[in-house]
Formats: sequence, C-alpha cells, structure tokens
Amino acid sequence: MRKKVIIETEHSNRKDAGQESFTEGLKVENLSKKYRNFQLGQVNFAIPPGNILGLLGQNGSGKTTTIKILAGHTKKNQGRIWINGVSLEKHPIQAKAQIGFMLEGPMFFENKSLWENGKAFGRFYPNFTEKNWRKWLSVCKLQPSSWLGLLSQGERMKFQFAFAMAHCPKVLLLDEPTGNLDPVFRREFLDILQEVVEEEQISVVFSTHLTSDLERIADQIVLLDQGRMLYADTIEHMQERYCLVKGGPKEGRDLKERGEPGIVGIQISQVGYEAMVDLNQSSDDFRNKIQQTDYEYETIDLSKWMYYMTKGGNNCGSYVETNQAV
Amino acid sequence: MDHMWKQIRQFDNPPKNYTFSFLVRMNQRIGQVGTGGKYGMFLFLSYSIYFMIAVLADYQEPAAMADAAAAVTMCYMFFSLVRFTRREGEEWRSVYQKIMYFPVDRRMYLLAKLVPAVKVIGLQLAMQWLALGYRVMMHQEIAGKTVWVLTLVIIGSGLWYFLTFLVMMVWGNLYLFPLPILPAVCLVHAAASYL
Repeated sequence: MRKKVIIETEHSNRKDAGQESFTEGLKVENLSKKYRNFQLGQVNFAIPPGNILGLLGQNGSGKTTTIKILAGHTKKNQGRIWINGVSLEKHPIQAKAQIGFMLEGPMFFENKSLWENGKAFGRFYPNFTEKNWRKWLSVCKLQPSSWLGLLSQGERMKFQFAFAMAHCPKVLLLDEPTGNLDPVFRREFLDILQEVVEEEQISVVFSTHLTSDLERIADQIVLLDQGRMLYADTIEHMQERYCLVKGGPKEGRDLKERGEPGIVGIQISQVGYEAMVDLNQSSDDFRNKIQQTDYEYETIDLSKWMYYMTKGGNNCGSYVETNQAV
Repeated sequence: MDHMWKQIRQFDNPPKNYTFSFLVRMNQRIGQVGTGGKYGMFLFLSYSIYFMIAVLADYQEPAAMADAAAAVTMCYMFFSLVRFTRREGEEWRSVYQKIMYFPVDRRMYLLAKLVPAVKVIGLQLAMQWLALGYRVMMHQEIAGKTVWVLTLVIIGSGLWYFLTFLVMMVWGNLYLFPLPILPAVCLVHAAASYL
C-alpha cells in the first residue's frame, strides 16, 4: 500500500496544495478504471488553481485514460473527481463546462471552418464569446476561415488550445500538447500557458513524454507506470529525495553485491556505474557517505528519474544492468 | 433543462446565413437558399413514386403494401438521421461521438433525435392516409383493418429503425445501417400475411 503524498508548493504567489479539502482547482481521489487487458488503479492528486501538474509515464501507462476520465469522456469504475469544487459524477454538465482540453480524437467537425467549429461547440460553454474566440485564434496564428480537416497535427493542437481558452476554463487537460508543435511555437506555447495559468488561476494537467517541457513549467509531477501511480510530489521534493551516484565499475559491482538499500536502479558498464538513490530509503551510513562526498553524486533530471523509476520498478534494490557506457 | 434542449436543437439545426431579398430566385441561384437542396429533391421524387404506388396498390392483399410502407419509412428515417453523422476522411462518425467530449447531456441529445423521427413517421402517415383517402374518393373501399395494419406498420418500423440507428450511433459502428431493415420487413410481411 503506497502512502498518500500530500503535495506542497514553494511558490509564494501560488496557493498551498497541502490543504486536504480545497474547493477550487482539480481533485482526484482513488480513481480507477478496468479494461480487459489494462487496469488503472488508485490515482490520487490535487491541483490548486494556478498550478501545473505534469503527468509522466511510458506509452500505455494510463496517461490518456486518466485525462479522458477527467474530461468526462470515459467512464471510471471507481473514485471521485471534483472540477473547481463541482463533482464530475453528480453534476457532469456544470463540471465539464469548466474544462478545456487538448486531446487526440475526432471531437470537432473536419468539414467545417475553425470559426464554424467554435460557434457550433462554443454554445455549450456559458463563458464562450466570439470576441474571445477571435482573440485566441489570432494568438495561435490561425485563420478563422481555414478548414479543420486541412490543418496539420500541430495546427490542430493550436486550434484546440484556442478553443479551450476561448471559454475561460478553470481546468485545462492537455494530452501530449507539444509533441506535434514546431520548436518555435512550442516555446511560445509554454510561455503563453504559464502566463494564462498565473493570470487566470487555471489548474493544468499536462501529460507528455517530453520531460524538458515539464522541468520548465510543472509545479508537481505524477508518475504512472502500467496503470499504477508510482509517485506524486513537486519536482523540488523529488530532487531532494532522489540523487544520482556515479563511480567506477568496481564500486558499482560492490554496491550491487552489498544490496545497498535505497538504490532504485543501477547501470554498470565497463567504464563506470550510475545509480539512482532514494535518500529516504537508504541507510544512514550510506546517506552520510553520499553527503560527505565519498561518492560522486549529482542532481537528477526528470528523464533519468523516470527511467530508473519505471525500469527499477520503484523497489529499492532493483538493478538495471547494461553494457552501454553511462 | 430547457436551456440544454434549446442548445441541442440549435446545434442540430444551426441557423443558415440567409440574406433577405425580394429577388427570391436570385437567392436560390446564388445563395443556394430555399431550394430544399438535394435532400428536398430526393424527398419530393421518392414520395411522388411512393404516392403513385400507394394509390394504385392492391389493398385486398395488404402484405406487399405493408412491406413497401415499412421499407420506405425506414429508408426515409435513415436519410433523416444520417445528417447526425459525418463522413471524415475514411471514417464515418456520428456526431454523438463528438459531443461526448463537451458539456452536453447525452441522453437529452439522443432524445432530441426523436423530433426528426416523429416528423418522418408523421409525413409517412400523412402520405399513406392521403393515398387511402384518394382510393376512398375513387369509391374503392379499403378495409378498416388494412388501414390499422398500415398505420401500425409505419409507426412500428419507424420506431424500430430509429432505435437501432441510435444504438449504432452510440456504439459508433454506422456501417451496419442496412441490417435492421431486412428483419423488420420480414417481420412485417409475416404479420401482415397472417392478419
């Protein structure tokens, strides 16, 4: 049984997510979904307004399923979801009216212009206005008269973002939004996102494989692996808890043979080793040695952390052996 | 509730950009407004043929006419409901699959499809009764039982196809659309022959 992580942020201008029963933002409790060959289980997190949560995981780990459940598209088996204090089960229409999304899927009319699509689906959102719609199309550099069916994948993502922002959502669900964007607009998109999140106090779920994007904008991270939630906390706390230790191949083999507790994963090659250490789980002696720089250690980045967490299975003492240089 | 119903009806029937002009023919030629379009033309031609058949049919043996009435009702129901689907690239998708992402009451969305369905059944009944009325005016009496059978066949087959099409829309497999027609016609034929 994993212990529930209470998320706290250190940003002074953002609300504290540690409080258990806030009424704004997005809150998910014990979310689970069962398919024939896949099970998403016990997902818990809360995002206060003005915060971005990065949803990380390998292909098929349950990121899109989670986002589709949050969007009210897919039905869950268990759990509770609140969108800005409104229960998604009890008041689905009111809750969904506060959600903006960027998802893969055939939700808009391919044979209509962007403007017509906005007008057709915008009528279901109380805060949608033509003025906003025009403004966000212009921000995303899209022609209102363009046909949706003729847009590239990246432009479709821009279109969905413009539509989402045009109805002033309180929660944004972004499923791999930057994957198809060109580097120029990707950077602009992240800047715009950060700006609107701060200004409009929107709670964002940002699912991606591109860990560099999350390092730049995310306040919290949730790591999913094969439908299980492995980790939920802020990036700062993750970096305080986990670190990378490096050294020669002999030291690596010694560490492996000793079965040092707290080592999430280790890669040993002919030129050296690299190990990810969970400082909360490691012995006092080992932690002291690391802190006294007996070992060469460095701060871990998200991509390596994700690699060890999913390959190492989060069980201390699981080893990943490789012949590649680390 | 009323608000959502209104939104769904507006979504299903978006207002056309009609510019008023005294030059009606100009609007028809340039704006393609007021012509009824392909759908209207199809409706007019098919109902003209159906009306001729209904007027000239042999009502002593009502099974054949009942089959025709059921088949036409279901075909017309299909053409009426098919506008709630979209051909997009190689996919044929229902609009229901799209609205699942948006804050729309799904049950009410499906319920709103009852409006065109009732119109279809009403038009078919009107056409059938008009043909029967002509026959009566021509002093060719038609048994009351036959009138009831035809009425029930039209209502029953219309509702049957409406419900099966809704199931296909929700399920997302629209390519099965001709399948419900055949068993319904067989059933109608058996029932009308028995009666």
